[in-house]
Amino acid sequence: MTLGDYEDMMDSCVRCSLCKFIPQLAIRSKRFSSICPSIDFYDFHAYSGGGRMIAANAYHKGRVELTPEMLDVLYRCTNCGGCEVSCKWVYDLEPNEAIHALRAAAVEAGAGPMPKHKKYIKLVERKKNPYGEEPQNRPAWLTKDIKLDESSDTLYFVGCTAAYRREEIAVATAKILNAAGEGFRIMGSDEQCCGSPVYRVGDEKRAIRIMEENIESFKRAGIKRIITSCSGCYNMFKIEYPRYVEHDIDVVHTSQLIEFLLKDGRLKLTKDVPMKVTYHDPCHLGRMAEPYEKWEGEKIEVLTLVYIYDPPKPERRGANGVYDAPRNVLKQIPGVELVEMDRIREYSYCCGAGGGCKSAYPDFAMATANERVEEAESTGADALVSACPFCGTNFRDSLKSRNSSMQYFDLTELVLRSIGGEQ
Amino acid sequence: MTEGMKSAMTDIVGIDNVSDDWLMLVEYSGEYVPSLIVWPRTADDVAKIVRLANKNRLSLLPISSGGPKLRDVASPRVPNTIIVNLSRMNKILRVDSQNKVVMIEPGVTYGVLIDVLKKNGLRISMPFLPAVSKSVLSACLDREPTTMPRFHWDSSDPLLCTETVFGTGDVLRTGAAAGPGSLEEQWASGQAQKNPQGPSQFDPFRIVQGSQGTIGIVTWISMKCELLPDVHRIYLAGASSLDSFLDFNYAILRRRLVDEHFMLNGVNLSAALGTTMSLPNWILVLGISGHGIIAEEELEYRTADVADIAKGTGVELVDALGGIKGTSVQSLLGRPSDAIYWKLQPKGQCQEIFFTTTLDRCQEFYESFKDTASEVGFPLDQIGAYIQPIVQGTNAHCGFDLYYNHRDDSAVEKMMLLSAKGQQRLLSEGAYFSRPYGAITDAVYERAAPGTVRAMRQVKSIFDPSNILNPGALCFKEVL
Amino acid sequence: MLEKNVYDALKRVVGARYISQDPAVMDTYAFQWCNEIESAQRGEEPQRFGVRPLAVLLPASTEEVQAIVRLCNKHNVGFKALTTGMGPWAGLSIPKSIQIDMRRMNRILEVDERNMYAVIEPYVTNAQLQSELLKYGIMHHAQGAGPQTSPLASHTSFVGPGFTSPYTGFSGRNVLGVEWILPTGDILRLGSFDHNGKWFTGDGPGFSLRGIMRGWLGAYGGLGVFTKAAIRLFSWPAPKDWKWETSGTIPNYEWKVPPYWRLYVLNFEEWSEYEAAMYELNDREVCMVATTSAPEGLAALFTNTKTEAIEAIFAGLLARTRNYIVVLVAAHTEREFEFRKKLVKLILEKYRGNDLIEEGVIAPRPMHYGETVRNMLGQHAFRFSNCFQSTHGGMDTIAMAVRLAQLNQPVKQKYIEKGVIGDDRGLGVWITSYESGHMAHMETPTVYDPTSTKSCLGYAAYQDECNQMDLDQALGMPFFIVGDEVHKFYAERTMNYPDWLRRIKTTFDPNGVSDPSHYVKGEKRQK
Repeated sequence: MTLGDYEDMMDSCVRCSLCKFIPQLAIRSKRFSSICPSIDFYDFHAYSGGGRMIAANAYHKGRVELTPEMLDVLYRCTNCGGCEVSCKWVYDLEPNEAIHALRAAAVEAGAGPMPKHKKYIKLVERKKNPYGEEPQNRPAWLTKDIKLDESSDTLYFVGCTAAYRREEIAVATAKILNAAGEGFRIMGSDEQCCGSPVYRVGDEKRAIRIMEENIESFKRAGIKRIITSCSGCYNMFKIEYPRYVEHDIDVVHTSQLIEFLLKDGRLKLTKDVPMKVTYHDPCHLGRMAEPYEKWEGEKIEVLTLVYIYDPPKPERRGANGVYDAPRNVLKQIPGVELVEMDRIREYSYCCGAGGGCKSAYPDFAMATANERVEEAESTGADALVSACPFCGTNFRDSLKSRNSSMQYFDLTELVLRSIGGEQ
Repeated sequence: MTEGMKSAMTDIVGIDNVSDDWLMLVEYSGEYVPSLIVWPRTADDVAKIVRLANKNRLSLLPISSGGPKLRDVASPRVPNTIIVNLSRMNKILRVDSQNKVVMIEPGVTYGVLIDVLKKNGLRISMPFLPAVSKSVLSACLDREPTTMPRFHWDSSDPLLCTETVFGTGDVLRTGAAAGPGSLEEQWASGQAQKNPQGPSQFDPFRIVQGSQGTIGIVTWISMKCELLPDVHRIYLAGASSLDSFLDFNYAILRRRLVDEHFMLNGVNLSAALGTTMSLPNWILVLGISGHGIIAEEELEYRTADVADIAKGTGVELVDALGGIKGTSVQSLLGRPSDAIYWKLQPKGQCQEIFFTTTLDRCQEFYESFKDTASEVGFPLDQIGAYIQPIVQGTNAHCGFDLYYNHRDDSAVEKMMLLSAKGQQRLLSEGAYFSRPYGAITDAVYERAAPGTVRAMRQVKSIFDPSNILNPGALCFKEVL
Repeated sequence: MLEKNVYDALKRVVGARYISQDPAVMDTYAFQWCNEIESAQRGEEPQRFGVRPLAVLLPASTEEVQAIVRLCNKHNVGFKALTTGMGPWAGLSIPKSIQIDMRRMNRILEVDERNMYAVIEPYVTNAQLQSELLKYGIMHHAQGAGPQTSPLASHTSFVGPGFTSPYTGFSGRNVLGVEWILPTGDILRLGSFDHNGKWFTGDGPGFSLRGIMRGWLGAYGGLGVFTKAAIRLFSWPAPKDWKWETSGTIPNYEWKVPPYWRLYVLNFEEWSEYEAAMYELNDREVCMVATTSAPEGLAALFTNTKTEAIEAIFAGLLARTRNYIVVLVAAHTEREFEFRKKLVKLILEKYRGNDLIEEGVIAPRPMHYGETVRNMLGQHAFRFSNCFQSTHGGMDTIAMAVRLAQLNQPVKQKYIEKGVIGDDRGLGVWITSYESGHMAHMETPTVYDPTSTKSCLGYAAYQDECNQMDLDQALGMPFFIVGDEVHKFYAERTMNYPDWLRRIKTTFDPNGVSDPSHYVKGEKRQK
């Protein structure tokens, strides 16, 4: 979809500011009432979801150009989708889509993405990962005791961050799968970035090419199911890929799989993990993780100026993200006490890393993580737990910079401990 | 006052409504003796008077009440002042029971109004035992505190709309009464001049209210009423310090359970009752009522909830306190004073001092004032006190009444000393004289920010640019 | 563009990070709801971009705001402050002007629990303030614009009806002391503050400067900037240990209803019965909420999506609904609750009404209680077409509100038949009472399509006819679209009040820099 497709929608923004806050009914405190890290850090209305949509509208109408400041406005956003959850409480609008469309338009016009983005996109093209690490080192996280099954049609897609930065997550995931007798293979050094960092900054051409290449290589390998421990990769394969590239590969996140394996009795959580934890819902596993269901139908005027879709159009509100699986897993770990933050589930506060922000605007990414960590600390929890290596990296950076006594764990790390798999 | 001017006034109001009789003029005198008294009959008369005054640079002082002057109010500060006495405009213009509102002219007094309202099933929240000749309208214009804080939603209540002649001679109906449309048209569309705000984007009624006649002359007001109760009980409580009532007061005010709710010290309650019985330092007066369908049950639940709060805050509510019955106190409510104003009974005269504060500071200010009284030798048992929560408890009127024998020079001197020193000390300790009268006025404006004074003078320059209305009052020594 | 020296001077006040003159950033302030009506009337494609500011600033303190305003005076630059800024009144009309975005001034400065007032800065939102006040067992009056908007803006500058108005009144009557930067840059602190450092009253000494501050409607940003406001608070009827708890998943949340709360939809066949019931219920002080909309509105109030609302409408809700009052009884004690419930029942019987909730015609969920007290119900009207606005607004008695609703129905129906506004059979109203029924207002929320020229022009024509009706039949004045033209329209039949407004404006804004888009222009500019 292009900006033109969204014009009526953009024209309908009431500029009401709901997009700056979590759903109003959920607000329990002033301190933890906002949902948009961008406007929290940058303050001008342009930095809110609605504001960015207005800027997109202004660009589309030829009122403004892509100045350096406007590009900053556009890219100082993690694309977390929080604005859309709050907006949809009342309106039939999709600000996050408009933001993506403007990014695509900016790339198309040669103005975007930002230099840091361009740099890592080149690295993705050359080295299959945005970190510029060598492809042959991609599977270096493997330990000798991890068993792979090259004939399996289940792929553990490790992802760039788990492979090169958060190896503990890759190791934990692999060991959990082994412990459950769940056969899997990996792509190893052939694994290519899922394309998320390319797609999110609006380089659709390159992103779609990556998607096509990946799907092709999965098909060639006979893959029927992808397991991923990264929320970003999960979101790409499950939600974004089907918009551009047809595939019928089943995509499952480690939190969902572990929940299933526990229910099925194939995993047993026996060891105590005495810890008070609070869980951060990654945006891409949560509110952004509702599939785009294909819809074909018409708009019918049922009352004057009031239209409905026939058949009913699926409403993507973030309600059907993966919220319960990680929590169900945590609650089953002996010794773990789960306390919730104010901002959870579909109104979770973004970690700050996504949408190209960790690369291009590290101070913003850090400030956002700090904000979230402060919220986590306010629960009195010993540890912050999440289910995404990219969130993990950003949170670890924050905890370190704050000299916080709080620890960070990926869900898989705690599960590994409890099944007695930790060395 | 030239004969020509007197004649011009006579042309406006008629011969029976003009006087320059010396004895009469002296009654209205302050720093200066006024030169003329006129009694307008209609708003039109008032407008004409004001226009004439503008043309000829005459000073006007509007008055509605007769009776005792206990607070240095309404007396000429400049020579050749003309008293505009509105007391002969004394009609009750409209009573609307459905909408709980009454429209009255300046000369309507409490006694008259209460009787008429009773016949229409209505009552008003009114000041405690006002003088019999007190103008209801002028009490409303003065932000006089009323005894039922539950119905006091804004500091301006129970004043609603007005018809005002500004110092320019322009007439404006304020609030919803401004229109669109005439009053008759508004009534036909179901309106009753209930919304005091506006018209539109300003509140002229708030500028007239509290202005002590320096902004405009009001020729009628609409005023908020409540329905008459079917059942009504009074409870009392005694304490040596107001602070003993604090938790109870705050809890009660939050819940909006009661009608009358105020405190008097023993001196004032004795004076009001005309008794010499020994009373606690402080007496809390609480009225609870029910009206309409299941009125008794309403009274019952309100009383029970109040009792729970009393229990939880250590206050004992009783029907009678010492020798004083609740019913005796009840007889003081909802009516004006007897012919001789109750505050004149104890010693012959009384000086009123009052300010606005919050309930939690009243005891502190009382102590401070008594301290000054001791310093200057004013007898403590001649200081009455009245604490009235207002604006549903957000703030409180704190009033001290100094009873003294005006024929005794030494007593007068002590009273004046206490009045001056006491108020200065109160002011310096943070008492807010939101309705400044008498000697403390200048000090109040000195303490206010210069910006506030300037803004007030700017407002004055809009509504009374020639400074003909009660010049010298408030901060209007000069006008911008 | 602003002259470089002016921009630089402004930059020195707030710092480079907090000023922008980028056109895209500016356009996010130029864009306002309802501007499309005016652009359609000018013969353009309806769109919401109005006057673009030449800069936007984010001050952090009263001193910074004052410095900005003084610079505006010095350099003849118009200005208007805004908080969340929802509506054309937040926008500008002077071509050479700036917006002052108050977002960084967002503290709750003081909560005086006993004396029941809070002192707040501009960018505290209703939901934020409510959630903090609940800890003390108190609440404030929140305006119908919604929980994400600013109570300071409402109390100092913009009308102020709300869903809890029977219990919490009207913003304009709830404001105590304020800190106000006049259009000249002088600071005014109304009332008690200069005498004791407390904000418990905004009146005096002598008369009240609240008189020039806002009136019934507020100056809509046209008379300076408010940097602090003390506002009245009210008791929150729930036990001390009750906490605001929302659980579940959007949009079907669970919410913990306090023990002595109950919603009713009291339905009456005839307007006369409705009116009498409205008077009596309110007078007896049993309602925290007593509000009326159209039957279609009822469908929107207690459902969570457009689809659900439409399903409710087509499921026969309209047939069962006449003139109704949504009543929330919220009591502090069981005793109070029992009494109020009994009384509501008796009043309902007295006026031959029926309770649509009891009869299962509409079934509010617990979360709808939460939405009611969080002032979220008004926003449900946006679900139909992403857009509505209201005509009328007159505020005086319940009787006038009813009369206005009755008289408006055929007028609205006319425009519905033209297909230019949403179809509520002309019955679409919002009536709420204030202060236990002492007052009421009526406005007519009207659905229109902001992307359609025909609909925008149709709405405008309907609005004009409503204004004419108010004028001709003495039905009060409208709330929302104010400004010089509207003032001129009403002046003659409303005692020429704009003359006074203009004098106030001229006196307090001699350089004419405080943007008057929805206030008045002063008399001749002095500069």
